[in-house]
Amino acid sequence: MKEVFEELVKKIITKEDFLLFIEEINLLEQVVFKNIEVPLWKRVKGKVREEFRNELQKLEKEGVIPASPNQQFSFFDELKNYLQKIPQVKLEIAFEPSEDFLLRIKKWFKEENHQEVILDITVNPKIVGGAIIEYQGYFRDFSLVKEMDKLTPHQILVGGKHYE
Amino acid sequence: MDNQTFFIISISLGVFAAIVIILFGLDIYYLAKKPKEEKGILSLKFSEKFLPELEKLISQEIKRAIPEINQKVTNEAIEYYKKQMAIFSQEAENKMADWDQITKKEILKFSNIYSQAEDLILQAAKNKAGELGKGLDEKIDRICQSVTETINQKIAQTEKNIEDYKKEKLKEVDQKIYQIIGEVAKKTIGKAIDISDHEKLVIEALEKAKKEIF
Repeated sequence: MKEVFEELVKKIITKEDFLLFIEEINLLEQVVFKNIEVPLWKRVKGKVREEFRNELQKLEKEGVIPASPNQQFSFFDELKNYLQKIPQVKLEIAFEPSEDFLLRIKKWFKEENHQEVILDITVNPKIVGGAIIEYQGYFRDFSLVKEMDKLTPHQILVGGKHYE
Repeated sequence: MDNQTFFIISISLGVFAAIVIILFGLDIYYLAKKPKEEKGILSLKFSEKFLPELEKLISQEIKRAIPEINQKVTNEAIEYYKKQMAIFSQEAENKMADWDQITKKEILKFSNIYSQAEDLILQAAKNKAGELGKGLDEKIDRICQSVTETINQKIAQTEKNIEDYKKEKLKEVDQKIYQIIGEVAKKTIGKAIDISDHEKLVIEALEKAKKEIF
């Protein structure tokens, strides 16, 4: 089951993805007891993302998602609990990141830290560059603006322009 | 004509009737004394002298009685009219007194009515003035409310404009700051920061954090 969950979680990169996924699971939990003669993936047509619906169809056909409504409910409840246990990393960065870059970060965490994470990204150009990182109660400021604060006024005065 | 006059006239007529009865009796007596051959036939005719005498006597009596009656009647009439005048005068005085009383009452009544009317008019005027005042107050309130609303709207709009202006200016300032910061950063790290630099700096930051918190 864990492998199935990990496979599903691979698609979740940011906090926004996570919230959307939780919302879709809540919806599935509501419909599992209705029209049970119809496959679940058909019942949620138009109500969840198509990509997620295709994933459901595949899992239902493979028998990963159980047939009975009660078992289906338990499956989604477990999935929700699994998702809520995934740690979140807050990253404040100076630019608008691309999808690829976000995947790179996620991959970095998987490879370097051996765990799945959900990225909570904030874009703040004032930090100039680098990142301010918050993880499980720890906070580190690796921004360029902090580095610049270390400069002397003489070093700050560049080309006749005065910053502050 | 009062009782006294009636009494005089009655006496006169009584005397006249007594004379007529006496003369009638005398005539019957003479007839009874006539001869036997005539005795068998009772004549009820008056003598030829009787009627003229009677007429003469009546005429004399009437002539004598008329001035007296006239005088009496005149006196009675005078007395009667004097009394009537006195009564009329008294009644007139009474009437005048009554009229005076009535007039006074009417004046008093009119005065009261006038006073009441005056009060009513005053009250009505006060009420009207009150209504007008109330209406005026309401109008002033409405105007005040309207003016206050307009002012508040203007204030809100002005505040919004100021807020927008502040945001706009802050945005401009921010842009300027970013520009300056970029230039400072460029001077600091020796070149301008592009996307790949940003990505590299973030990965570097993660590497540093890995040692400390991950």
